[in-house]
Amino acid sequence: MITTFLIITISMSLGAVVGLYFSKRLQRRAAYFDALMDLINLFLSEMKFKKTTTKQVLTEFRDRAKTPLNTNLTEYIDCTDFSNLKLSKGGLTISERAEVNKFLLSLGTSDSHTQIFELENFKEKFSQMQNIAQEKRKKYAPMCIKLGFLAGLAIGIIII
Amino acid sequence: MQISLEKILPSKVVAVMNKCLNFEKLYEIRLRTNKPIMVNYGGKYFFLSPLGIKEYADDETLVIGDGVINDIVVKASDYSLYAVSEQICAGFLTIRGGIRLGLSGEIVWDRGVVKTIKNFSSLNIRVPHEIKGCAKRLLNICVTPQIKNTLIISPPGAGKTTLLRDLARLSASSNPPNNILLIDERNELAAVANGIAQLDVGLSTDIISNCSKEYAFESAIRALRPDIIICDELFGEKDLISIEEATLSGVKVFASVHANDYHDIMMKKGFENIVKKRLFSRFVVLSNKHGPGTYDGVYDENFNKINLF
Repeated sequence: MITTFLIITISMSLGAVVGLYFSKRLQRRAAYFDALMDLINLFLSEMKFKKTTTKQVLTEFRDRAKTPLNTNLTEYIDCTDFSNLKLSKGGLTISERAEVNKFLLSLGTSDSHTQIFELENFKEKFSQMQNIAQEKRKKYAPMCIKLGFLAGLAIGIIII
Repeated sequence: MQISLEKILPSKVVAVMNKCLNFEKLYEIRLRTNKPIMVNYGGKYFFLSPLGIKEYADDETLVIGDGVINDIVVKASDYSLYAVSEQICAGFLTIRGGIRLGLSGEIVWDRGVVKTIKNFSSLNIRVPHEIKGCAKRLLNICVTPQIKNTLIISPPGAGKTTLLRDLARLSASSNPPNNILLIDERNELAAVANGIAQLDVGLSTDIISNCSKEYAFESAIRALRPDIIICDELFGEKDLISIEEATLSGVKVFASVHANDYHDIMMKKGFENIVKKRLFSRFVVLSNKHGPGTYDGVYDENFNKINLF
């Protein structure tokens, strides 16, 4: 009896942990794109009015709040050879990461008119990604823990 | 200064320069897309090769590849080209240490105004030199016992900026000290970075950088009340009007102009008028005859030669 109880408890807990992991991942992705949009807005205002340099804007943004984007920003700020810039995954898909890479590499490489145009384009792309990520978070994040819990229970019963 | 260059130049070029060149003798680096790299070393042009400098270009000479100049400009702007748009439109970019990058490329026009320069094709990197004491001989002629409006006449690369900088330093540190206003249009004279001058321009010097002479003269005479205004490279009628107004308001001016000698400046538009009105009492002519900073002559308002001691 104790063994049965233990197996079911352990499998349910493991299932819940797996569910929590997926839930956090969805939340993290959504938070990543939220931060990215905030960064673009900050960049647009800083470059239009104060002409702050790229690294100053990124450093200020990174130091202001803890966001999932911070790791990638640190990688960019510390990079000395941009042809070899490699960003860590941060829960993004390969194509999303490539887009973020392209965005970071585009910063500061053109005059203000072109830069504003490019930033607006990136803003539009990331806004779509942000919407999808937020929708998925709303839909699946609370469900993930419950599903994990139930899946754990089912596995526990099968084992018994 | 060396660090600033190392940050922007390709590693191959930096390696050769560190190994084979003395930065004190380096005046200019000329980079042109798909062409050999040239340096002005000790007042003479050479080609850069992996083993050092050469008088003639050959197969070994280092060549600048496609896109390299663009990379250098982006690096020089600290990866923030948008922040230096005005400088780029004016055809130059100044980096830490007062190093000036003269730019050439395709000019983009918009309704009669330069919008930007794209596809940069060549660069002239000018390395400033701080030669303390080079203006000492002018002190008794231009600063004491009475400050005289002074115009330094020199062809490009003959040391007028270096001389003006030292003149600022000595005039500001004289006894009693003079309040100097340094109008550093291209940020070469004082090389201000984050509000701090990186080159010595004296103890009592106020610096206005990255703005037109017109603006600086207009706003600063009232606000800063200088004894002497120092500015580099007079060009065009607007500059001359500003100079005239300043001298007539009782402020003394030390300025410089590109020309070979005092005959040349009379041919320049607007200068004849300034000379006739005797706004300047001293003319210092520099040349490259015995290297940059050679005194060719110092003249008074009547163009009589004054002996330098």
